[in-house]
Amino acid sequence: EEQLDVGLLLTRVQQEMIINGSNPIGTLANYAGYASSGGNRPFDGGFFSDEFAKGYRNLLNISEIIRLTDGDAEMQGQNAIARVMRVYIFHRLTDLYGDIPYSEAVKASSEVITQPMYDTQESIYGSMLDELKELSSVLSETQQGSFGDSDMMYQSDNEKWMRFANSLRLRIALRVRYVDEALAREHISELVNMDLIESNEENAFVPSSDDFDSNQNPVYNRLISNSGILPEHMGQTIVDLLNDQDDPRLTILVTPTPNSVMVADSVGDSNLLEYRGRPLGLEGLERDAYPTSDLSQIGLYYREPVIEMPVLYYSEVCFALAEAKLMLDLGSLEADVWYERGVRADMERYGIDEAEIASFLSSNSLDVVADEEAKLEMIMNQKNIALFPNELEAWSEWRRTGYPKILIGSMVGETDGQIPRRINYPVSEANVNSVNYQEVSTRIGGDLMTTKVWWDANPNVPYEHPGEILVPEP
Amino acid sequence: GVVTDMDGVPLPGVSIVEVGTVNGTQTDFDGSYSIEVAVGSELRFSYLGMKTETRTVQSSNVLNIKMQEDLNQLSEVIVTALGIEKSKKALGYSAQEIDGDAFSEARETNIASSLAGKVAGVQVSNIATGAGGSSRVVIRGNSSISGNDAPLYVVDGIPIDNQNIDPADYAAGGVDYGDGISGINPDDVESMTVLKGPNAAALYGARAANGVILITTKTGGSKKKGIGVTFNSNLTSETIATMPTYQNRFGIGYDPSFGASGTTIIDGKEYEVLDPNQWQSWGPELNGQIVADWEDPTKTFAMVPQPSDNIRNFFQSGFTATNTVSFSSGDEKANMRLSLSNLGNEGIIPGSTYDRQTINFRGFANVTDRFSIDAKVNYIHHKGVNRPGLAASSSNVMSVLIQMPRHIDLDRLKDYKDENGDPFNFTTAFENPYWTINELQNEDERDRVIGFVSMNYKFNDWLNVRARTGTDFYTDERFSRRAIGSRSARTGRVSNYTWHVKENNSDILFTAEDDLSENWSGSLSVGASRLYSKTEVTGALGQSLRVPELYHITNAEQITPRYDKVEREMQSVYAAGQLAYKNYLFLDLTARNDWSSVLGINNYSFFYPSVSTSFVFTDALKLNSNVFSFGKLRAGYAEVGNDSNPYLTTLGYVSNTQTVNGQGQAAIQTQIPNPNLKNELTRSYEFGTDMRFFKNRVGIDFTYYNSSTKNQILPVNISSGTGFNRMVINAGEIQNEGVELLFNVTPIQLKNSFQWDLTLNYAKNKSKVVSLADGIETHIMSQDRWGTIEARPGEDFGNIVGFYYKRNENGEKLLDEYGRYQRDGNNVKILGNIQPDWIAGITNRFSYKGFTLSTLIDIKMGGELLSGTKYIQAARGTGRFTTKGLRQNEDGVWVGVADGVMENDYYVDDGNGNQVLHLAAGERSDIELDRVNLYGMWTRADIIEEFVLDASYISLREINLGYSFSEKLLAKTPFTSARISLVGRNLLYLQEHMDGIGVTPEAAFSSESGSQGSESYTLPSTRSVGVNLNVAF
Repeated sequence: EEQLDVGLLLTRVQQEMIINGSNPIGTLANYAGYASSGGNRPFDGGFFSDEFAKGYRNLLNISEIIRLTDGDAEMQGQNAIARVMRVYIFHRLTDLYGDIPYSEAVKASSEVITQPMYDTQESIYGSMLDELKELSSVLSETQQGSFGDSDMMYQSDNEKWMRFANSLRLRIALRVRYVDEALAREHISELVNMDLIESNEENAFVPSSDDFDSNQNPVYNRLISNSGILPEHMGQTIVDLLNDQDDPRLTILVTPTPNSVMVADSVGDSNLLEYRGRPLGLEGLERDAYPTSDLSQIGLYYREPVIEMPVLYYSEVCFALAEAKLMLDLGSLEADVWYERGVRADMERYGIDEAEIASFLSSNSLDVVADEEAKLEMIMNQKNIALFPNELEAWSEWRRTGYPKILIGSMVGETDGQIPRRINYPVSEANVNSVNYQEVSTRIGGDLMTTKVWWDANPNVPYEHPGEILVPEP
Repeated sequence: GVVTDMDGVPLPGVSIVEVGTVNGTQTDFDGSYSIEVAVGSELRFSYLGMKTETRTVQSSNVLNIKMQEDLNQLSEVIVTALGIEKSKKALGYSAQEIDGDAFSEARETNIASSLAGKVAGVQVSNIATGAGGSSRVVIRGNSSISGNDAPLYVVDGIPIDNQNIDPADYAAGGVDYGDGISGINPDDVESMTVLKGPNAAALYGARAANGVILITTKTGGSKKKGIGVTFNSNLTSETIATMPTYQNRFGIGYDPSFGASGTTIIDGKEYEVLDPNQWQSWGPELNGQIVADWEDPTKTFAMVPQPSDNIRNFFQSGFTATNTVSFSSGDEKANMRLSLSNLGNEGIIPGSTYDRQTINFRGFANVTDRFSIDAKVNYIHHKGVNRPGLAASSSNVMSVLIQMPRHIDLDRLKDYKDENGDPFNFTTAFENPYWTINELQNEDERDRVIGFVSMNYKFNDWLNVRARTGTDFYTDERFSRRAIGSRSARTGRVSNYTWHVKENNSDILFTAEDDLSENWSGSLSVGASRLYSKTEVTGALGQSLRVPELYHITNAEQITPRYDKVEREMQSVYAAGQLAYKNYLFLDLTARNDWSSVLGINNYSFFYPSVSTSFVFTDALKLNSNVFSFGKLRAGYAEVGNDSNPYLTTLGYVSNTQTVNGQGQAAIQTQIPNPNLKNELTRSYEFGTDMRFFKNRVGIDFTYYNSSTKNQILPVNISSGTGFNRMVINAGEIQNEGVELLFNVTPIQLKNSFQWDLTLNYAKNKSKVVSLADGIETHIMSQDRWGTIEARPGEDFGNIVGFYYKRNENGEKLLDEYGRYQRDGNNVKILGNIQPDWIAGITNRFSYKGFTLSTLIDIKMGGELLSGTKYIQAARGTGRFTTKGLRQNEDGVWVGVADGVMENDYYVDDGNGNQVLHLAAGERSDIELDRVNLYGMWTRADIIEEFVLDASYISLREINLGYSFSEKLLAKTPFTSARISLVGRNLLYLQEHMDGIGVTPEAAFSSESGSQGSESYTLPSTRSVGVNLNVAF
């Protein structure tokens, strides 16, 4: 039998899960406060049937790399990297759905379990944290074998993968803070002393590529496929966050409204440019208050065919450590130091010059508010901006903490007017894996978009509808 | 005189004609007749079941005739498996033959489609995919669910390729480029015989498990002196028969307001600018509201509905002309026939054409007394231009037309591009349909040769050998292009694929046949065959065109090559024996062993036998009488093995043709193979009887069958949690049970030559999934947001499953807190089944002198379909059904009330801030809902129940009014015969239950068996009316 070049499999997985892994104007981005899609009804569900199959399809290929390299002394480098990718994909899936097939999933074709059971998210989180802990030490020892350039993320650099594994473990551990603080504390207390991603140079991302349409930035493809007109607009949440604090990232992430451009052009005064996002779930007259000519869209920076498709950035590590210090008192540096590092890292990612960064930080320091919850809100607001365009992670952090606050219109949908807390299992599971599907549905309290996943345990969210949507005079 | 049979029994109704004239009469009840003729003239006596007699009138005034039973007619010969001719009398199973005229006058371009309603137990669906499209023929229900349940087509004894390469699919769409049978010219067909059950088909082996359709083409005959020339011309016009129905009152909008993206000032007044991103039609009533023009916002536009037929006017009348000329000649020693035909079609979609030319040569020669050669070459050329895109295909104009807002005047879209070549449309949400038909183009051209050589050598009186080899090969070149700016290919696209398909069949058969004793006779055939087939495609897809409108692959920046090759081989040996006792008791035995290349290495050889018997009890028990003319009982048991598609036995990786960041990519294939794959096996038994009464004026043929197919080879869906999406199983059982009835009667047969013949066929089939593999709950045959179609163990095959209304125990719909419909959570249930309860065909044929009038009524009762057209129209608010039960409330908004009761108590504000009970739980709702909350809920909540429609129909399938000029009239012309007919096909539905949505109930069937029962964006179906002229000289 011919041996497959396992690098071909890894490239495919990175293409599907990372290059085609996030979309800052898709439906999930609505839930993250990033976007407001045109005619979509974001609370109606039914948008995500492919995520499940796509995740497991790629897990199968990652597992195949692990099987093909297991026990091969010369391929332990590939083996360890594949195991990190495996955790990364499982983590995405469980954050989308909650309980998912894990221990019985993605077996080799000869040992397939056609109806895999659903493991609890709690057990999956425990397993992922342990796995990453082990992989950190595996990767820090010298390992034979490299993917070379087939690894589009780190070119098989084991040290960077080790830092990524630790940072991913930090992301996962922090996620359980409200539901199992002891577990979060156990892992984060180790991680604060370990090698994490320490600069933008170590950021985890895969560049999209313009050799084929399917490898291009999804926003660019959306533009191309829609005659250069984006039906999606920016969410009110992120535009207000950027606008209210005079954030230099505003003009990078967001375009001015068409009407204000017309006005500004006519008098030649760029100060007249306006930035306005649209709240989520508008109905009827509410929608009329937000005509598209008065709405902003995603900035030119994210409309290029080749961009960085995000996985995990240094800024996220900083905000995680800020929260760890603030809420758990873990680590040596103070929260405001990590907060500033996080803001700075994200601004540097966009090439914003030092003067603007310093000016922003001087007027938006963490010290301006006293109480812990307000500090946390500031951290989370900045984290939301820094995560852009990683909408899944931003939505997860909103579910976990309730920040940033997201305004909702009066649309009811399937969620009784609430932002979804998870997405539905694909209908096919009810058909082809019905016993396990029924069991898990009952266990989690119904396969609903309003069912909270295990770690979604902060009693303070979701916030009540603030009712701040203004309906103008007819 | 008096006409009697050989026993002296008088024969009533014998037709007597003076040869060469229209002078004629019939015998009366006593068998006596009288006619005035001159001495020396010739009288021809003819009667069904009797040999025709011709006598010259002598000087005597009395001419008594004893007519002889025509054994050839009573025990008509029928072509059976491997081309073995058998008398019908001896047949132990059901087979039905149809004369070629039935296909050539009121014709379909695809000859298989014209079987509809003509054969008991054969279900044919008319698929609206344009001329040159595929047929869908299912015999005795679905036995195999794996993908191929089409019958095997055998032309002149040699199987032909009938695959549909790159077929259209109801979900993904695509273009229907036609199947293999679509190349056959109906004018070349002498007859078609349908071998229905495994018994009939057992000798054809694996591919015959779904039945066989034998096509016999015309030969030169043995009686023609000189060269006979026949010319047939068929001209028909196709017009729209069914067309989606539209609401014609409400405008664009997500709710009862025109969604505006802002306002603009025109002549000092402010007007709304319609949002170019929206496309739904839940807006206010169109009553001339003035808004900014959607094309030019410096002008105003009055929102008024278009004429109700504006969408219909997008289409045109189709036209099909077929002309065939044939030359034939022959005597006892040799004969030949050559035919040339040309078919030209213009479709109902502007710019869509189909042309087909065929040349068919058949020659036969008795080289010596012992050695004969039969050979045929059939060349077929066809070319399709802009075949319509189907289903969800972006090139399907219906996908746009069914959701077109009502204020859009299609004429304003005709200039579909601007001066820069960019598409012009009123919305960014979908394509301008004129752009679609002009800028999304395809062209395909096929050159095909079907031929065979057959040699027969008689060793002696009782032993002969026949060796044959046949081939069917073609090249199909397919080109498609999409202009830069097309929604489905913004950067432009061009593709060229060339298919090479080849199927070779060779066989040798020794046959021994003789009387064994005075009462016993028998025959034995032993043979072997080899099938080899290959399908290969090469070509490339190019995307991102550098230079606009240059559709050459080198002009593309992104090029994706394609190469696929599928090969298979099957070797077989077989034997067939027949034993006959006194020409009334027959026993047939067959056995066959196949070696198939597609099965597992340890399981690739499989054996299967069949046995059948026929007992002509009227002969055996001497029951023949004028009343009871003929009676036969038959019984059979058969096994047939079936293999599968190739390449299901090993796991592989799929290498991606596209790189990313310069890196190659690969993935594991998504289907789990089965290395031990073995054949499917169908076991079937059937019983039947064939009885004729009143000197054959009444005939009844009845069959009961029961067949079960085990070891189903099929890729079943498994949990995505496995990482795979399918697993090839080799287990499970599908059972088909049914009855077929064929009833012929000649109710009226008058002396003046008026005759009425009635043929009725009826079939009922029940297809049940007995089991699948362990750990497999269901096989999902199709899945879309409007539900799934499944094969689930213990249930009927083809259940439609989906979400349904939340109801209380009384069956009333439970409404939510806003008075809207809701679905019952994520629970699904069986909402219907795609199988019909029964199908039938009724043919009435009236003849008088040279005139004939025949009508065919085709009936399908029971069975449901899932309508994606209704789903989309419900999602967009364009369907006529979205205006039912509306009234205008005090705010001028059109509202309706959902048909149901409140699930919970419903409170309203009394105006003083107090909540008072308005409706208690269980009370009927009176809550006013706007259209989107009334009808839009069907799709917003995915209440699939609403989209399951009754697919029953009674169709007036065919009318044919013909006149044959009499020989007397023709005597002074060069013609030996001439016939002219007015023909109509698919004329109208006498009954259908599609909820008035304007989609044909036959829409839900494609030529792919995985795509049954669900339709989406179906093209309008057409009726064809025309004229057929046939002359010979």
